[in-house]
Parts: sequence; C-alpha cells; structure tokens
Amino acid sequence: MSEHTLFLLTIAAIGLGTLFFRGAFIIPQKAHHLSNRMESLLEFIPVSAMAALAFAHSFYIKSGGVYEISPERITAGLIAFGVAWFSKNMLLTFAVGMAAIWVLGLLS
Amino acid sequence: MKLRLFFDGVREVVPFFIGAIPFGIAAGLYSVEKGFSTFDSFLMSVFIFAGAAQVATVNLLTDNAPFWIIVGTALVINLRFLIFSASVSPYLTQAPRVLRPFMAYFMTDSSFILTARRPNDGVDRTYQFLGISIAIWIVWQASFLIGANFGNIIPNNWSLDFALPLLFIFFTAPFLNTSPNIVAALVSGVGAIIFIPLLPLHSGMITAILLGAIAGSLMKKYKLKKAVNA
Repeated sequence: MSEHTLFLLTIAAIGLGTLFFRGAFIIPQKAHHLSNRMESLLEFIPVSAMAALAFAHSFYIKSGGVYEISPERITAGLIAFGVAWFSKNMLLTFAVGMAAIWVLGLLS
Repeated sequence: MKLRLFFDGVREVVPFFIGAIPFGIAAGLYSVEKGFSTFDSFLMSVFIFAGAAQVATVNLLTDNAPFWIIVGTALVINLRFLIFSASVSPYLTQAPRVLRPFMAYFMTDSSFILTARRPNDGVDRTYQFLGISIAIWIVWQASFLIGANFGNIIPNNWSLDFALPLLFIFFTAPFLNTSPNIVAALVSGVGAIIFIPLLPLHSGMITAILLGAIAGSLMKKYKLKKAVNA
C-alpha cells in the first residue's frame, strides 16, 4: 500500500469516526429518551465545556508539544473576564483582552 | 422563513470568526510547514473538520505513528462531539431526515455553544443551526487555505491565537449566575488545567468537562434537597 493511500485511509477513518460522534444523537430521527440523571448531567455540559476551554487556553501555551504556564495569558484572561462580566460586550472583551496580552508581552 | 432563520444563524456566529480565523490560519500553516501539500492538507481539513484533531493528526503522521494510534488519538480528541451531539439533539427534533447527516457533519464547538445555551423552548432550531455551522465551515476552510498559502507572513508575536480563549471567556461569563453553574465551571476549569498536560491522548479535556458536569449536577441536587427540607 502506498504512503498516500495510507494517508487517505487514515483521514477517512478519522472523518467517519468523528461523523459517528457528531451524528450519534442528531442523525436518528427517533427521539432518544435519556434518564433524569443523564439529562441533569447534560444540562451542565455547555458551561463545563466553555469553562474548560477558557481555562485551558488562557493558562497554557503549547510550545513544541509541551504545555507551558503563561502568566501573561492568565492575567489577560482575568482582565477579559472582568470586562465580559461587567460590560457583556464581546468586542470590548476582545479588544481589552488582546490589548492586555500585547502590553503584557511587551513588558515581559 | 427558513432562509431568514438560516441567516439569523449566520449573523449569530460572526463573533466566533474572531477565534476561528487565526486558528484556521495557524492550522493551515502548520500542516504545510510539516510537509503536506496544500491539497492534502485541505482534504484533511474537509474530512476531519476539527482544528485540534487536525493538528494532532499532522503531528502523528509526521512522526510515522501507527495507523491505530493516529486514528485513536484524533477520535479521543473529538469525543467531546458525542456529548455535544447529545446536548443539541433536543433542539433539533424537528429537523428533516435528509438534513440530519449534514447537520451532524457541520457541528462544531460554536454551533454547540450557540444552540445549547438557549432554553429548550420547543422552537425549531434546524435552520439557525445550519446557518451557524455552514458559516463557520466556510470561514474555517478559507482561513485554513490562507494559512497554508500565506500564513508565514504573519508575525508570531501578534498572539492572534489568544482570540479563541477570549471568545470562550466571553461565553462562559453569563452562565455564572447560579451556584451549580459556578461549581460546574470551576471544577471543569481547574480540571482542565490539571488533566490536560497530565492525561494521554488529549483525554484531559473530556475528563474535565465530565467532572464539571457531575459537580454541577450534584450541586443542583444538593440545593433542591436543601430547599425541600427548609
């Protein structure tokens, strides 16, 4: 088998597997009935997912496969959180957050 | 009506472009820098359509990792889509059968967040979901191609990759209005910090999310019990 064929098979397998995950509950037209426990758990998936993504991407910078703690990102992230909390304005949050990371990057 | 809802979705997802564009450019540039042609890189992006899994796949392919390691790693990274699928499906019960595979393919973190953050009020979210998902697909693929062809002209010290966490911070903040949500967010966030560098095959993120959801659920149960006993 050629290298390129193996490459195509690999990405096809990942694509199909990912489609299975994405579609597991969306594709079946019959409504699935989840237990109360499962529904209670699912209620908190959105906030948990967003918090995990926010914390992870603000705390670490990945360099050459290694996670390095980034004090600049942590500080800029906390500032951005404060702006988001009080202003509820996305553009302001983004502008202040990016300004903070640039200034902190220059100072470090 | 369907078209209006579709474009409502497109408008709603525009702020997410701030995160998707730099990430897409970085992913495209990374793939080409690792030796893949623009065409093969783009094929990967179309087949997989998940940034973190694409970057990990490029890494492992370059390292000549075995087939099952590459596929397994990418699928563990993408396991969160299974949970997202379960979370959004109650909002999409009215979707026509023929559209469902496309809705599944196009689902991303942004379409999940923008759909699942709403109360489930029985309104058909099918076309809004499609508008969100297809718009982000177009922006992602375009950014990826720009990165693959022109990414090396952007200075590294611009920290454009910080745009993505800013988006997640913005969308997390309004959720923190009840103690179960605060507990879920804190447990998940701290869990992500601890487990992401610690656990293999990128399973730290999914572990953190599940722990956060369990903690939030337990806190809600505790509060209900306290209210009943009061």
